[in-house]
Amino acid sequence: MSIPLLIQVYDEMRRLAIAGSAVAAGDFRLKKLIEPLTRAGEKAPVFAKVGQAVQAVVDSSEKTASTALLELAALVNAILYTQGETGIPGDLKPLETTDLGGQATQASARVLKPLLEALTTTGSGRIELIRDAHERGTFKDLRLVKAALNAVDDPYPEIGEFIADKVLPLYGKAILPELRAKVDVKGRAGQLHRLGLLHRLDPEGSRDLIQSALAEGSKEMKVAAIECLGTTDDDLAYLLEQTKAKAKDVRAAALRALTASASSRADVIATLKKVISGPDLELIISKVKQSLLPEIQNYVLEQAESQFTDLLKLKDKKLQGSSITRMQQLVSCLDERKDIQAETFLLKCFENAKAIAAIKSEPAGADLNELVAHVLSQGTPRMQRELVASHKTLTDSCLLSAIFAARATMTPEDFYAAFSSSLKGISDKRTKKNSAEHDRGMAVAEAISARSGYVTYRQWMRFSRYERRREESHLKALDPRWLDAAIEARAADLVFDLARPGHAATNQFLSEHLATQKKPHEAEEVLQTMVRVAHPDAADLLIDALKKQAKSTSSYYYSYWYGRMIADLPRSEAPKFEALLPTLPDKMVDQLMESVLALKNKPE
Amino acid sequence: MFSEALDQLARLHSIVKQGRAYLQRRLEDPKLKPETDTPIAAWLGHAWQLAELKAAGLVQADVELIQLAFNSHDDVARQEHIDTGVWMNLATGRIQVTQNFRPYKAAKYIKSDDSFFQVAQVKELCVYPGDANPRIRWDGMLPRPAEPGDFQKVRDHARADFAAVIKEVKNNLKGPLADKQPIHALQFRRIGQVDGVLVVEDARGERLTLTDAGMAEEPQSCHLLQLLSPSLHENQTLVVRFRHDLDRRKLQVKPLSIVTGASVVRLTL
Repeated sequence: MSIPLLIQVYDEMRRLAIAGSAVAAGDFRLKKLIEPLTRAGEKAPVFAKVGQAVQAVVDSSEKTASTALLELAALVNAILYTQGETGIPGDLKPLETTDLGGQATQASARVLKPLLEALTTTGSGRIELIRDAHERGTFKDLRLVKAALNAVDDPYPEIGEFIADKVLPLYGKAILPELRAKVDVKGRAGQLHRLGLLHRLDPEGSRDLIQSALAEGSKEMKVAAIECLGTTDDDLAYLLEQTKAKAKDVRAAALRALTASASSRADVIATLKKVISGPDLELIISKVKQSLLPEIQNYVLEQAESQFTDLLKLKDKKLQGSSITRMQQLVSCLDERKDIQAETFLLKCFENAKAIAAIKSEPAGADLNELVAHVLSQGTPRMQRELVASHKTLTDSCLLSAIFAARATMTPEDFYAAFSSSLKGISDKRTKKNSAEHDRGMAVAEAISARSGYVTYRQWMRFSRYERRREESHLKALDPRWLDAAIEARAADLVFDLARPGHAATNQFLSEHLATQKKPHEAEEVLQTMVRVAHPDAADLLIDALKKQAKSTSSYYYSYWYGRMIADLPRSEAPKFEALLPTLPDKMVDQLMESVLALKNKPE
Repeated sequence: MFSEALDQLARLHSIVKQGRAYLQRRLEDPKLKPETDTPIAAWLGHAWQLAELKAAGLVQADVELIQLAFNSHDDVARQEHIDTGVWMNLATGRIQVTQNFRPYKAAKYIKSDDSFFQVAQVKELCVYPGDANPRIRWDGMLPRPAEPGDFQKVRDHARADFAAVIKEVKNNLKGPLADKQPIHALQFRRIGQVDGVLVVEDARGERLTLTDAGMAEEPQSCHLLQLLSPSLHENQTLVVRFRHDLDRRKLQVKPLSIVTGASVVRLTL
């Protein structure tokens, strides 16, 4: 078969289709092909047919040209479809595969599709979906790898950071080629994550990129590259030089890298000691506290002891303030240390809390005491014991730290016995008269409600910036009597947290409490709890709330929140909601329909 | 783009031409039932009801189906979401598709389909008129867990002779109203690459090149082959979608899933 001839016909036909059938009639280029087609048709009749179709186009009028051209197209395409080239010559080599590490899973389309959209589009609500998918292990599905790799460039920084920190490391070295292929040392944002990840996954293999970033990279990439430098002599020489840089972020990166290198070289130790004794200490707190070098650990303690001694002697408020700040930095460097020297010093600070509290500068001694209590609460058993033993004399954040320490160290029964009575101090309104009892009660409530042992120390203060989030420490289970104590104290928020199914007093409390809530957002949490604990009236009360909402003139519908509750009800309640929907405004139906369907279709 | 557009216009022209003849026949004989040998009735807008399909004898009894691939995409032109399941009939080895159409306006009221990881036991399977991969539908189905024997059946039904499949596909493609992207299960000896081009080869050395080009309704899948264990690159079953590239005049395939002795490794959704 003369395929080149057919291809020529196709090309001309395509040209005319693009130009418009109006110019097809009499086309001379098409006309030239008729004779060779006729000749070829003598051997293969199909060419004769094509020739006839071409002739029809050439002979057509403006009115008939389009039909003739389409007839020709259908015929030629039909033939060319049978002539498609397959295969490829050459040596078939194996694919270079990369082991993703761990067991790959296969998620369903209903799980995968929204996640792929979250990773590849923009808009609100994506980070929650991505975090949830990570917690469920969904990212082990290899169909997400490409989307995850691209998501480091997400315009929402938190997503790029989360993907780089938590998701991509799941795939191990398998993703190195892809990361390398897209890294741009002159870039920013997502490129920083790529470089960091390359270093994390393959420190040796990424050295060339690190050097390239240092030499030619953007400012941000240079800073990121500095943090990736290691312990070779060249690296250390470079880092030592950069510790003198004028730019603070370059200096900070170099110092952090130097601290993390754990080098015991004399010049490195000398540099770090100089920094620890100076104003740049705040740049390296997070690394200093992880340092296991005895020279560094001992020096920090020396500085802390010296600063502590000076602090108690100072009288000038301004000097006191800066001294307190420096003490806070040094105490932060002792956080998570378990050695006896650090323990002794921190307990000494705690024992002198009264003297420290007398310092009324800005920041004040009370601020330092709070930090010390926070560090003790997560310290050695002795530190925690001493803190707990003093709980009756403590207030504010110090008290909260002590109660957390108590929950972590005492048995559930002892913890209940020691602190349950404090809940009675919680009032509807905090006044000067009841403030102490109220605050104590609220601190106990907060410790009861906590899901982790990590107590955030003053998020708004700069110290927390240095803190990498610790792994959530395990909290002991609570004595079941806490729920009864919370009900007795009428501590509604605590009851919501502790409520469990089948507890009659809880059901009664929730019903009574709901009756007093006037506004939809106030009722929402009560209803959520009722649904969670399978309150017998949950469905009916939810329906009442929806009916009330339907009458509201407010443009903000709470049905979004109610929708989620509907889906959590028992399947047997579905008919009630199906009957309710037609009575509601369209906007509410739009928001609730999916939830009602989910309820109707959920497994038993 | 122009080549695709011209192909679509030629198809439309064929639908009009064949459709006129079909409708003329129906006008002349009002008792004439919708044609069941070809999909022309559906092309002309006929929405087959299950009862009609049953009455026309387009029913298979006691069928077991295993899903080999799944996709859900937005068809903007139709203003619909379309959920497509690719199934193999375990008895016959025929690959058939379920399609769930959800118009944008009614999407909230119609439940979407999802991937199905078990075996569907269908008492009465209705099969729409079609060619390579006809559409199927059922009223009720009983799921059961997939067993190694089911995956082995898929592998046994897979086509080991690429040349024969290629011939069949080309023959099918020449029909103006044929499905232009048919799906087949291929028993391959190995998957590899030639100068960076992904290739699947059968036991006789016949090859097909792999691509995602021109099949944008499904997520890209070729890149996933490099993330699989090397054992999946040899002597397995590859479920593929064929596509003829009009501009480059090549017949290529897109991988949808790999079927091993123990599972279906999905590469799309």
